[in-house]
Amino acid sequence: MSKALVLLAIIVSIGNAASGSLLEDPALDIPVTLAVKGEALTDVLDVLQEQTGVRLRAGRDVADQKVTIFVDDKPLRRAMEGLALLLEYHWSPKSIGGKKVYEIWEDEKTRLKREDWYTKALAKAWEEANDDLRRISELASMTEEQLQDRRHDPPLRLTIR
Amino acid sequence: MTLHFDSLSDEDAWLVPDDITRKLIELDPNVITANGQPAPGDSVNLEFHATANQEFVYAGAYCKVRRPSHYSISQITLFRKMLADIHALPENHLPGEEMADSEVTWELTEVVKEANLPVEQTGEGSAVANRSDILALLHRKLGLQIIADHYSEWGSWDAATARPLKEILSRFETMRDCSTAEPCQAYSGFDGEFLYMRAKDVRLCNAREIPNRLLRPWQAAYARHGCLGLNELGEIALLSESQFPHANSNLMGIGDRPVTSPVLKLYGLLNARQRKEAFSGGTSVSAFTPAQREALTALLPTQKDSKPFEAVAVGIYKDGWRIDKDEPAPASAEATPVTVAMDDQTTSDEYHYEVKSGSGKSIKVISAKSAQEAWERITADAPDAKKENLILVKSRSIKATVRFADGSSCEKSVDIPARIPYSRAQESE
Repeated sequence: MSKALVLLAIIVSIGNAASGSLLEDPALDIPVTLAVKGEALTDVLDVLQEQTGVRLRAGRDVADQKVTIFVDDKPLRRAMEGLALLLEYHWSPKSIGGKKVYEIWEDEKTRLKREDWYTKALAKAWEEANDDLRRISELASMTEEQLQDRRHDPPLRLTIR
Repeated sequence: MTLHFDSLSDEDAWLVPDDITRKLIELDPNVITANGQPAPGDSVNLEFHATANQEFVYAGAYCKVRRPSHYSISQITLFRKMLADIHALPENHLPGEEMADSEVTWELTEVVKEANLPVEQTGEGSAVANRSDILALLHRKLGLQIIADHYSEWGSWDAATARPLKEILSRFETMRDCSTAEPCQAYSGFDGEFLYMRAKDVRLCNAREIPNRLLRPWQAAYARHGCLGLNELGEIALLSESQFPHANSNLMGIGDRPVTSPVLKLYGLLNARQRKEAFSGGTSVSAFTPAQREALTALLPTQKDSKPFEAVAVGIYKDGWRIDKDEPAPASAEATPVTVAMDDQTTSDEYHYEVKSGSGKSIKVISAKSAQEAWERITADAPDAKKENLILVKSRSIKATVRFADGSSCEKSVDIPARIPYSRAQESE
C-alpha cells in the first residue's frame, strides 16, 4: 500500500471515529426538553449538559451565536444534530481533563463561503458605482442635446433631483 | 479624465472638475439647492466620496461653490446599494421535506404576551414581535419541534385565524424589520421531525448582533436603575460600526436610546482605575494605551500634533452643575427641569395635553423639582392620568476635560438623555 493510501485510510478512520462517536454514544440517547428564545449557544449547551450529564461546549467563535429551540422529549443526539445542521457547524468529541466533551465548532470552509459571498457582492457593488461614475465623467464631452437625452438615466436620475 | 472607486476607505475622494459640474447644473439647477447658483466667476466642482461596510456601498458627492465672499456645500447621494440586494445570498441549505398542511390561530394579545416587551409595541391591529416569538407560538399551537437561529429583528404581526402554516413560514422569507425597514429574512426547512429556520444573510446578522454577554448586564442595569449608567453607555459606545446602528433593536424594551460620541468612546476605553482618577482630578495620558490615545485624538482632532496631552478628567453634569460629586448647587440655581412626557407607545387616548410632540402624540413638558411635583401638576390637568403611561426624561451630560502639558485645557461634552418609567423615576432622583 502506498504512503498516500495509508494516509487516506488514517484520515477516513479518524473522520469515522469522530462522527461515529456522536452516533454511537448511548449517553446521547437521553431525552431532552428545551424551550429557549434567543439564548447564546454556550448557555443552551449548559442547560442540555445539566439535563443529561453529557459534557457539551461551544467553540469560542460560535459561543455567542443566539438560538431558539423548542424541543420536547427528544434524544440529545437529535438536538445536537439539528443545531449542527441549522448552523452548518460540526460536533467533535474531545478529551479534556480525561473526560469526554463534545464541542460544536464552525469550519473555515463555511466561514469562507460567507466571506466569499461578501467579497463578490462588494465587488459587484463597486462595479455598479463605477459605472455610474463613468457616466458622469462622460458628461464633459457631450453636447447639450445628448445631455438632455441622458437626463433620466442613472446616475443622473439620482444626481439631479 | 478617469474616475474610479476602488477602495473601501472613506477618506478617498474624487473630484469632478468645474466643467462637468456646470453641465450637471445646466441640466438641472436643483443640483445646487439651498445656497443659490454659481456665478460665472465662481469655482464649482463635485467632490465624490465613497464608503462600504458590511451592509452597503455608498457613493455621494459634495457640490462645492466657492467665491470670494461665499462658500457653500450641497450633499448629493449618488449611489447606495445594500449588498444583499445586489448579489444573491447563499442558497437554503436546510432539508426540504414536505410538512403537514396545518392551520394556526392566535389572538393579537398572544403575540404581545409572547414578545413580552417592557414597553408594549403595538400598531393598529398589529404587534411587534421577534421571529422567535412567532416560533414559540407555532410550537405551542401546533406542537412543532423547532431549532432556529435568533437575531434582534422585529416584525409586525397581526392576529391569525386558521392561517396556513406555509403562509406564515413564507412570510419570514420576505420580512422587513419594522423599525429600520431593512430585510430580516429567514428561510426554513423540515426534516420530518424538526422545523429549522435560519437567517438568509447570516454574515450581516452576525455582524450586527450584540452578544448576550454584553447585552444582559445592560438590561440588568436598566432594571435596577431605570436608566443606563455611564459605564454601560461607555460600553455601548464601543460597539462596532455594524452593531451600533442596531443597538436599539438589540436593546428593545430598554427606554434609553443609546448615544455615542468620542467622549463616551474614550470613557468606555478607560479601565476602572483610570475612571476613578478621571473623576477625581484627572488620569495621566502618559499611561494611555494606543487605543486610548487614538480615542483621545478622535476627541480633539484639531489639537492633534499641536500640544502634548497631559491628563483627562471627566464629570457628570446636569443643568450645568456637576452632579457626580457632593457639591451642593448654589442657592440661586433654577428649578431642575424635569420633563414628563406621555410614553410614545401608549395606546391610551385619554390624555390631551397642550403641546404635541413631533410624532403627533400628546405630550406635555413640565418643569419641576421632582418627579412627584411633575406628577402632581400633570394630575391637576388630567386627573385620570395613569402613572404607568408616563416617562420621565432626564438630561445629563458627561464632560471630558483634556489638560495639555502647557497648562491649558479644553472640554468636550455629550448629552445623555435618559427615559425612565415614572415608577422608577423617584428612585433615580
